[in-house]
Amino acid sequence: MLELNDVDVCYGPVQALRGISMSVGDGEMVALVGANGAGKTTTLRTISGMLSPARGTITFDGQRIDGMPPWKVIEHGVAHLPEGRALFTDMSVMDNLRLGAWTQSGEKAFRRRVDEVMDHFPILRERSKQAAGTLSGGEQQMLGVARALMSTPKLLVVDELSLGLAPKIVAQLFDILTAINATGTAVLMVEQFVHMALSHSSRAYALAKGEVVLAGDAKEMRDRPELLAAYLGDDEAAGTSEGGRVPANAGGRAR
Amino acid sequence: MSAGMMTALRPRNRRSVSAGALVGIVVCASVLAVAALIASRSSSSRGTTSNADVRAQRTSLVSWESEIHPAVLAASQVVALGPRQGVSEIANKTQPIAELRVMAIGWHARLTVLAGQIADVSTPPFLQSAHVLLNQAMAGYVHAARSLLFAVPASGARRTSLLSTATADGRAADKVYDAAVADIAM
Repeated sequence: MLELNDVDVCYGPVQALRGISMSVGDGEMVALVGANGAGKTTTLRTISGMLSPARGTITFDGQRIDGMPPWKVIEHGVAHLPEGRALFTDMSVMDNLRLGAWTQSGEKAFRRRVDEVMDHFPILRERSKQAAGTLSGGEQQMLGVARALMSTPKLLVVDELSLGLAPKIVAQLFDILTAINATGTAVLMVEQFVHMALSHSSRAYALAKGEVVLAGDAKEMRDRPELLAAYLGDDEAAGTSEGGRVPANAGGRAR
Repeated sequence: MSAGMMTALRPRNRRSVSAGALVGIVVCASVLAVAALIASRSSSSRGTTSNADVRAQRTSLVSWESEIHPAVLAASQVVALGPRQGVSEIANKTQPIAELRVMAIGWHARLTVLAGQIADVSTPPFLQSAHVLLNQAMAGYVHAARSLLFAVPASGARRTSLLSTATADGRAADKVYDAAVADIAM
């Protein structure tokens, strides 16, 4: 479904990504892990069209999408939930969902899609008239995911779902993501909770200094934290142990 | 390491990584050389960029992107799912005018809010030109949404004219957006 082939991204004199090659198959759930500054978010932004590769290709469903603007990438069926939720805090939950679903099918189709999406988020259904800004952090993140789903994407790209949230809420969000994936939507996630990301994914890629340094089965990667540590460093790999569910960089990144 | 692990987890071939890195370095060096040439021609007062300057630039860039990209993505979602599809809906009046009007108000209101959010992001000097272009692109999308809003109740030649204006403004905004992305990479 998604193929990155030898992608370089440069910011002027700074090369942020070096020869990134990776893939996400139909209905697959794939994790992208790595230390801060490894290039994870840059990879997602390049897929979404916010950055343009200096070299290499990105294809989605057989079509080149590298260099396309984000709106065009969205039209191809890629929805990106960015780090930071970009919700309209003064607007209701329902009005935020409308942002993700103006289609030619009109109000009835919108309501039908809302119902489908809300099945994953019963709490949002209860709070559909509430202003987004009054929701808890976890509920706001749910609304972000719900809004991304409103466009019925084939691939959901998720950047740091857990950012600033309590572990219990994070676990709940991962369960929701797994349920969404089970309906056929492929997921590519960047996550600071490495253990949790690897537990919920079928495959994973580890990035260091803008390069893919490890790729393979997520479960095997999770069960061999020492291997991950060799590439990512002990601090990041600490998040892969059973007891190490607190992200290595939680103190610096929690909001 | 077990044989299974060896086959399942694939540390990347260092030779191919090195070769890829070499090509990457050549590409970036070329970009850098062109950028340096342009910089030396455009500003004789500008000194050599040190590693510390590059690191500082990268930090400001990451911070700027973190602030601006969520709003850009949200705007892209509005554009992709709203006005871009809405042009033909309004042209063909596929839905009741009241519904089309609510949608068009929504596109215009949200794009206006997002344009404001994007404009408010504090920008380091070396990204000013990209930010200006992003602001221009957003102004174009807002203008296109405004034309669509006016087109909903209009009829005949006026509606056709407003729809044409909206389409032209949207296309022009797309081009300016592309220029902004290219500017960030430079």
